[in-house]
Amino acid sequence: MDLSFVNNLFLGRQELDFFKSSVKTEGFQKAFQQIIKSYGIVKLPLQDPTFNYLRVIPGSSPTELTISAGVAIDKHMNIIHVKNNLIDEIVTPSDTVTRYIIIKYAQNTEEVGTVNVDIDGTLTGNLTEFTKRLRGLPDFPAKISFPNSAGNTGEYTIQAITDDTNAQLNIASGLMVAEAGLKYKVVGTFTPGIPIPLIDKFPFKNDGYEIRIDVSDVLIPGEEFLLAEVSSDGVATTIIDRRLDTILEISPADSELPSSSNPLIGVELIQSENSASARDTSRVKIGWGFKASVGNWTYSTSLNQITITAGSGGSFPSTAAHTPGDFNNWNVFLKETGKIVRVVTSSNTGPNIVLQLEPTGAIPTAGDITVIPKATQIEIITTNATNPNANKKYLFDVFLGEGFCSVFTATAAPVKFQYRHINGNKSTPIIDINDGAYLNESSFNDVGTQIASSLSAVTAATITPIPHIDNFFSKKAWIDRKNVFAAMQQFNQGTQILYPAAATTITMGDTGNLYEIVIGEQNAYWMTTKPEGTFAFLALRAGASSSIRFHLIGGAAVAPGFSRFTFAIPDPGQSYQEYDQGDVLMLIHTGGRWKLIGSMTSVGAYKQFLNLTTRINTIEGAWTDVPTIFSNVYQNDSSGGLGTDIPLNGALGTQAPQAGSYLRYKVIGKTCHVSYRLVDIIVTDHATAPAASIKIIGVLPASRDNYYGTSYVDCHSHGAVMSGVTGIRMYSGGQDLIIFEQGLASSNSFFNREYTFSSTTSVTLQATATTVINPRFTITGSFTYELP
Amino acid sequence: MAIINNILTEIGDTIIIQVNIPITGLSAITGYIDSVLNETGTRFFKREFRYSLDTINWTTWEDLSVPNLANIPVDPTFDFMIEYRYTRDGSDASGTLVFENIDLQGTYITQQCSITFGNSVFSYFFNGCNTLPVLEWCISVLEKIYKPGIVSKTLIRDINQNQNDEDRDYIDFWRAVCCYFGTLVAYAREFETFQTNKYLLLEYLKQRGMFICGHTSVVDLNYLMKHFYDEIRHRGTNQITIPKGTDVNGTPKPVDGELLRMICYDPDCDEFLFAVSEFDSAGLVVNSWSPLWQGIAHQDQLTKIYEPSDDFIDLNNYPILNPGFCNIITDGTKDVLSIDNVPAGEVAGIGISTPLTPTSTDIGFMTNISTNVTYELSFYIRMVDPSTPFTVRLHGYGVNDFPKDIRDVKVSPLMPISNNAIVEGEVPLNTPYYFVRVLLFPSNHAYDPTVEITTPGIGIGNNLKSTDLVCQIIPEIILDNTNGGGASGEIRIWGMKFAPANTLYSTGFIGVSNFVQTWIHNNNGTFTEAQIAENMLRYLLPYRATLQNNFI
Repeated sequence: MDLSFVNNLFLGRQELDFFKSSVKTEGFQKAFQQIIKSYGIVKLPLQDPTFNYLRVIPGSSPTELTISAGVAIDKHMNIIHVKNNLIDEIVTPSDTVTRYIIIKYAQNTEEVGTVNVDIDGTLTGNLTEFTKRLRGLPDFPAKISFPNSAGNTGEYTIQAITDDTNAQLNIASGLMVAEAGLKYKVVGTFTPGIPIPLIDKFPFKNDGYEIRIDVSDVLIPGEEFLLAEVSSDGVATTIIDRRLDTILEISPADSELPSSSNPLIGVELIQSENSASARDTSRVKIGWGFKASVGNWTYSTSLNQITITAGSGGSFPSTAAHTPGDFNNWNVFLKETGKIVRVVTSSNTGPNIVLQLEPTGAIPTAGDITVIPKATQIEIITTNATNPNANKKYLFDVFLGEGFCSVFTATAAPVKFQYRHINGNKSTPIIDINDGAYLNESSFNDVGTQIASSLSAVTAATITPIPHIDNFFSKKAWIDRKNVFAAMQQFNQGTQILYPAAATTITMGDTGNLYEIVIGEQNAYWMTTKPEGTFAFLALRAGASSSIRFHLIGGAAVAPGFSRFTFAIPDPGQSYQEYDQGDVLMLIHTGGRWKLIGSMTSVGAYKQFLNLTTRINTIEGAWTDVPTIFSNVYQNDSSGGLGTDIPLNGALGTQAPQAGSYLRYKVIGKTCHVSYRLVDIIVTDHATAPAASIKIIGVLPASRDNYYGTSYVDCHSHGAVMSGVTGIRMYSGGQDLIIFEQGLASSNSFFNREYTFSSTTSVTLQATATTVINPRFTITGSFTYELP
Repeated sequence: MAIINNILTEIGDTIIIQVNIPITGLSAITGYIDSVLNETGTRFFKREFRYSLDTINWTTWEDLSVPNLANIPVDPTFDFMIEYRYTRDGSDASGTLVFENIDLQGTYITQQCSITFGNSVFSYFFNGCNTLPVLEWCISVLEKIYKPGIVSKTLIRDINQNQNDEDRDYIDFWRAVCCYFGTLVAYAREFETFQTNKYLLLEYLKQRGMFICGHTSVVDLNYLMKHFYDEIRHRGTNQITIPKGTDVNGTPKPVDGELLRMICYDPDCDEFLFAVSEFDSAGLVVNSWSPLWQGIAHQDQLTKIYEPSDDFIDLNNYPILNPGFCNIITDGTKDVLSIDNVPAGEVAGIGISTPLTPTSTDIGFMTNISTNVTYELSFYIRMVDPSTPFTVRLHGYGVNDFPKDIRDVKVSPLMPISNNAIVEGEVPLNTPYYFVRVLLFPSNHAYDPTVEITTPGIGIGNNLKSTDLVCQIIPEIILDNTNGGGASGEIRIWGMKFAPANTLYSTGFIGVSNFVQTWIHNNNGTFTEAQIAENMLRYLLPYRATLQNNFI
């Protein structure tokens, strides 16, 4: 319907009525009728979070009842509007009979507030809105009447309006009777001289109500709404809130805003798929509701409260994790009845969670409950840090409280979890789940039974699932080569080749370390034919749980049929695995066997290794400087023996090492790395004994061996030519290690070179010439040794 | 047939009394009555007569006596003509004899003109088929045709002066011919001086496109003829609504405005209101006009008396009782009428002193009303001093019949209250101006006891209804201190209006410009109300004017 407004169109009552109808009854009312699922009391979570609209509450006496202000809408789209609390509006007999308080729409032409009138026609209002309803002289003054007046029963013209509560009637003297507390109606401003039918008077038709109390709860559907059932014995009043029976609901979905955040949503556990599966994914249980089993919660009818004594959910391992207000405006899902009840507030009482509920009918205390956010659905978003094509989204009904997400675990990669609440067409932003602890893979056996309580942490909403050792991806046959069977096949066929531990063995720490073993050199290839080279470089003792990262440097492919890089398991009887593709291997030795925990990248390209050098780096730890004294660095004295300490950067004659000197070490696993630099040591010439000896103690343990290291010696003089020096030798334990046979002054060619130490306990720098004048040496070196 | 002031001084003096037109329908002659003066036994008239039954041939003179007259062989179909000869006779030559008049007595059968004549155009010009100019020409030419010279003698006639009615056929035939042409000639002669012929003058002006009331005098018609283009120039202006006389600016108006002429406006009793609504008096204007509203408020052009503004401007525009106690003063932003210091026994305010016998000056303050329209008398009143009552009356008058009753609307059967107060009372507070509205309902207003109909809006008094004979009113708003007690009091009047109270239609128009409302009574039988409206829109109102006539 529509009314065209065009020039020359006469606008009469018919046209205006049509226009009003097109806007109201045939307009928005009809439109709303199409989308409203049920009519009744309006619930406005924002304006009325505690749902007090039209609530029946006790009045001043046990038989009197008060009805709170509120709004309801009936099937005709009439707005049942109770603007102010109706104090003691309803009286119920004290006969204990249950009665029903029912409200329906009624048009009301009375205006808000009451007025007092004096004999002069002066109006004084209480809560009135004169300026909004009335009009005084000279412009078409309104007329009013007083429906509940005994002495002023006429219709009176408004003379002037001062404000919302003060006005003056246009009335001759002696016609008014002073009265107070009068209701008033606006008769209207009609054409003078025209008799106006009563039905046309009082044009301001306010939305009103009609409330009755009845022993019957039979309602006119869509027009009458049950507010409460009440009874009284004269002493106490029983009120059962029935407003939720007839609540205004909009179809197809509640359009309330969902809860903005969820303080408990988190990872509860992760477990591998069943052994019959490929096990390239794992099951991660996300919890967004707080679950309490039957027996762990109680309901108080009088207080309309649920008390939860035990439960968990998401990142809340127990009721203790709850902080007051976490569940404000959430819902409680009663599994027994499927009913959802609004939580007004949540609080803590001791270790318990107390939920103050919105008024509702009786709640059976059977069955489990779940406290869930105010939403209809929840979306879980998983993001795989290295495998974008493993990202997934899951949509769950919120009342479930929890759900399983399948995350990709064929290779290890961090997975981030995010979520959002959805309510109809409204959604919260996507945000991270909460950090917390969860039961990791070790807590479950192959069929998903919890066998332990091994926890891992969610950090920054991220977990790193561990690929199952038997996942299909890591053991699948590489069948894209001729005449070559993959390692797994060989293993399965029992054709593994065992190699004994190599002579060169590095012993690493048992626990808590991650080692990186770098094999190969850039663009260099090591290649051999079967049997592969017999060297081995690694040994981990049984029971070690350290991880090793193999970094195989190389890039070019080799032809099929060539051998592959292998590594050995030191203990005979253990299996070994070989891999020839990719750059990185991640393995873990669990005591029984090696488990692959990482996977190769760059799969599909064969590698050959032309040369193999092995470097073991600790990728953890930092240097530790020896703080004060370069302990036990000795200068040869005249007697040729070891004597006075040389303080680091200190003053010991003229022989003190100068600024920039250091001695530092760090321990990586069972390897100690030592680095040192002695700057400008002045070595006094000595004919037979070493000019200086350096003995490093303190850093070095009493029992040590297997020194590996290099050292550089730089010699130069100050102010004079160093001559006559025939050589310098490195002395250790009375045994020459390094002897510089050439004179220092004649050539530097022997200096600044690299020396390799081996099984050395001390180093002595000795000058063999007698003509050296205060030569200065800067010695730089490093070495490693195995710790016991 | 009266001839007067004929005086005969000498014996033998003779006067012949002739008539110009014949008598038709005469069935018998019974006698005569004449009037002469100074006749004595020795100084008297010798009375003779002769007659003609065909208007051509005459008898010899005979003594005028009843028997001789009775012997005339009259026939109603004859055209009877008679001549009298009065000759001074007797022996007394002194003095004079005066012939005054003579009436022929007899029986007469009214001759009806034929339907043909009645339907002809001639009936508009001649009083009847035997009207004088026609008969004169007819008789004259008939005689010429009868006598030798024009018609051949082979048509034998006039041998024996038709003594025996032997020429009857000839005469009747040629009379018909001559009278027909006589009619044509007389008709043609009317156009020679059409400005003196009201019918022709009316037709002339009408056919030129001017709207004329048939009752317009020949003088006014001549004015219109001479000022035709000036009158046409008045179209589209308010000059079409100015009545004959003097307009508000003192400019003489020789004739009624064209709209008034079209409706044959009667200034003595007709209501006539013509208003071009102001911008805020139509459609929907917040706080000023409502689409469904049918009232008249705020339309100054419809204010009949006395001034179009709410403020009082000049008390000369009002009938003032005891002007010494009435002054225009400024009260805040209002120029109001202050009625103050009225001593005991006196009355002051708006009104006339002798409502039952209004003077000519009083009549000038009257305004015409229609007994078919609802009016309102409204004003604001402030009672400056406590206990100063005011009184409102409304006096009604008919044409040449003063006064006429205006009756209490709520009283049934109707009771006259012409001299009774319709509102008399006080207002409670002395600061505000209270609004008083008294309604005057039409004479046929149905009995309605509801308070809003019977009682003015201020809550006291009576609304009124007209009686059929009322066509003028004069209001009265006074401080009546006849009985004392209000001598020191003051009341102030503001915004006095008398205007129609409502319309039968709402003005919920959109996009209407120049909305014209009229209250008119159509006395012109040549136009229907629809034709008047059409003529107004087509000829008298500006282009794009929207017209709403209220025909009373």
